Amino acid sequence: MRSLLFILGCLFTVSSYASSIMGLDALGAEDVSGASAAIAGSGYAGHAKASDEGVSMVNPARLAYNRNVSFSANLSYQMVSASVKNGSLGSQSISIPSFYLAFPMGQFGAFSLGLWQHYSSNYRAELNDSLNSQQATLEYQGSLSEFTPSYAIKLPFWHRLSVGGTAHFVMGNNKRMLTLGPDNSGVSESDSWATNNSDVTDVVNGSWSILNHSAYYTVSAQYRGKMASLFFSYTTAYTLVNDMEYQLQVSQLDTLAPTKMSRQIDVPMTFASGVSYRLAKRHFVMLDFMWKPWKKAIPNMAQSWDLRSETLVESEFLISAGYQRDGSTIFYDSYMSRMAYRAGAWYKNGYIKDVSEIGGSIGLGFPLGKRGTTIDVALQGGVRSSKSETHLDETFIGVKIGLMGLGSWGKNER
Amino acid sequence: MKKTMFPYFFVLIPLLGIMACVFDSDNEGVSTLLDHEGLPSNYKVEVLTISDIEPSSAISHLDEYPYSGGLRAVLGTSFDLNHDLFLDIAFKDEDFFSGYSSDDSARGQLEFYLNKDFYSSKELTYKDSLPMKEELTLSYSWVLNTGSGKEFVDSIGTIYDTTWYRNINSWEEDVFDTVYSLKIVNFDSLVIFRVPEALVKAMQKVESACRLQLKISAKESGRLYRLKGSLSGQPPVLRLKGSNGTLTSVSPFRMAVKSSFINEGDYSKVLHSGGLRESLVIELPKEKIMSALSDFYGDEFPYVEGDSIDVRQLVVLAEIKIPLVEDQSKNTLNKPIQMAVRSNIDSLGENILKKEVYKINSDLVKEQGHPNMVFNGSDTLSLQITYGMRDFINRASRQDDFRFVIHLGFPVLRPNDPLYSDYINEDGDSIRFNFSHFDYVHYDLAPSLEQPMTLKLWLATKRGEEK
Repeated sequence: MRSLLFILGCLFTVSSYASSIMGLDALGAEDVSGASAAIAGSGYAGHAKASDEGVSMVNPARLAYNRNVSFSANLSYQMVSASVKNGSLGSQSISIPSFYLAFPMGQFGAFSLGLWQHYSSNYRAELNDSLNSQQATLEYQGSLSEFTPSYAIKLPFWHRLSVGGTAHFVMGNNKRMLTLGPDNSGVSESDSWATNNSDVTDVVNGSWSILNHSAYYTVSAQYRGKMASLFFSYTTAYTLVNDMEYQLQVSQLDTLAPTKMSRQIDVPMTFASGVSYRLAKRHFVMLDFMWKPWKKAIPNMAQSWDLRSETLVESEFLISAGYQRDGSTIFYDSYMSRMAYRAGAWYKNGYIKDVSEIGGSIGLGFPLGKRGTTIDVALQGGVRSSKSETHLDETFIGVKIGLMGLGSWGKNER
Repeated sequence: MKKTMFPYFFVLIPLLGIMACVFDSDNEGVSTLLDHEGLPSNYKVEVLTISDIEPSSAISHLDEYPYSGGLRAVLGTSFDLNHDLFLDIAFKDEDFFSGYSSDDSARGQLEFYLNKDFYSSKELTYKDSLPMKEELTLSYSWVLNTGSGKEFVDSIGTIYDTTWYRNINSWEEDVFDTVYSLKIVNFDSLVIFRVPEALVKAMQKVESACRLQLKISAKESGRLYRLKGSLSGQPPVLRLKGSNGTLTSVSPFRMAVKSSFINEGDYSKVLHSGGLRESLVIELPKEKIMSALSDFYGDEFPYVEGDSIDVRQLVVLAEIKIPLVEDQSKNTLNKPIQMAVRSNIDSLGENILKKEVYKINSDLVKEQGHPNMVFNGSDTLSLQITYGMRDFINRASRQDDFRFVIHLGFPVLRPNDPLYSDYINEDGDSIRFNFSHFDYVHYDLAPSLEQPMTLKLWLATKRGEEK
């Protein structure tokens, strides 16, 4: 445990920004599957595995099989390196992409509350090349978060089947700041005094909401068999609204009056399904699939300079396969035996046209105490590649750490 | 070191360090990213010069409303202005007044301290600024209220300054002139004005307590007397003396000055002093500026799309050059004087006047001195109007002509010093940039404003590269 805390401390000392450089002016990077460290450890597969405690954003019906009141919080550390012809381009980021509270209520079903950072666009890069009069600082800070109350219940006449739903209340802000130094090469020497050391910052500030609705919804059905479990889920389409204020400024107190603009992003429905199969006692293989048929290009944030006006999209899908060996629940077994082991791989066609991602992960679940509280750690790595010149290829390595706390409040299901 | 800590220090930390380097960025990488995304790595400075601008209007305004003379008071005249002094005195001295009222030889005098900081300033080459001896005609008028008890005196103190200023602004009391021989031994000595006999007689009717509001004018003095005010630490003193040696002394608890024109005339483009509430409002024609921007960028100006707020470009610096014709202008201290600028800008939906910053062109200053000064021997006044012009273009579709306001500042002791502020030199001496007292001048901008002006804009644009 001390080792784990030590590693965690080391990771925090190398903090910066960015989980992906792609699509920063569109929606940013998607933290799939509710950003759970346990699911990330098995390559984003395992939403059908009903024996796990916790909340699944893809499959709310699974919540009905929770036995304990649980709390989970996840922490994500990502390092990204983009492929550029000259020099190097990379960044690191730390975020807390989700946390959940789940309350099983016996025959009355189960209820949960969560906060999930669905999309994030955090990036910061500095360029300071005085020889070539290049001075720029580019910074994105964006978080499209969702407040997610969920409810699920097992059918009273057939406990192997549960249904559930989640309402996703969208909130959050986004910001782009581009600070530039002057290039006086086009003015006479006698005129250059006026702009020396005068930086100008292009600033966009926005907030997120849903058009004409307060939330969008996910509904799902889960079957829990002795050997196999599976689920189907459907998420409604919705239109995101990003209201923005756009301006140029010299300093925070010296700005132009901002112009107000708004963009709308049509997010399509999502279909997801998954299956979990028990190979042997405590050994599971899982296969998950998600499909989201994007159609309308996403208008980019406050277009100017030579920025592209929109980000082209394509049908998004995620195929993931994973393996999990559950830890023993017998406290007197060895610690290694009580640990959970996970591995997985995924292929994802992202919402950005011509961009695909392939990745793999391994994960461990460290039990803490007798009650079943665990710390889940997932190590992920992979590549995002683009078939066109529009985006730079990326290599990424990520660590996700999740704390799952269990309590025995209320009446447990028997 | 514990054995278990070894791998962390020698394996994990270096590993994390290497990873941090691998996933870090350098200049070339960031430059490639910016170029790839269609973002610039600097802003290209563009200069637009708009010549032959004739102001659509220019008018000065002197606020003749009274203002505080608590720290520095002036009395007398400066060119076309007269400066009257007001004192508000309230006191109670029952014992004194019982003897004073029946005394046929009762007298009174007002004692002022000269503003020694000004007159003895080593930076000033203002020789013989005050006559050591002269005949001075003073005009007195007053309002005397009598009462009794401490409550009466205390009640005077509860009257707000603003109320008092309002009252003395409409002063219509009888005037008593007195000719007085003024003697000034040195700048440390008191200047003593004798109180007219009519005021002494009025004071003899006081039984216990009184409030005396006194106005003193020196319209025929031909010069300005700079005196210490009621809050300066050396306030004026009113001394009332009886023949039997009885004496009472009291200082005003507040003072005010009212500056106004001596004669009616056209002062619509004249400025007088930084110490007065006056300014000259200049308007530049919107059409001319918008047309020049339109020609420069090839876009529509003013911008009317969406909410009509124009954020396509930013004025990094704006400078207006006004040709100077100073032959009708006069000063007294023979020092250049700063011209301060304020511009009308939007602040959260409200129009406010914002003081412009002044960016220093060091090379020019070393050669020719600061260009934002008058009485500096220069034929051009260059004023920076960056905030104003930035806001004007930003909200051009919602505004009329561009408006900025100028007023005189302090005299400048070191007009060629690019530091533009006080500092301590290598020898440890304090070097003052400004003279800390205002000059009172007659600066007529009318002939200057008849000349066409030139506006220069340094611009940063968000428009992309032409392809």
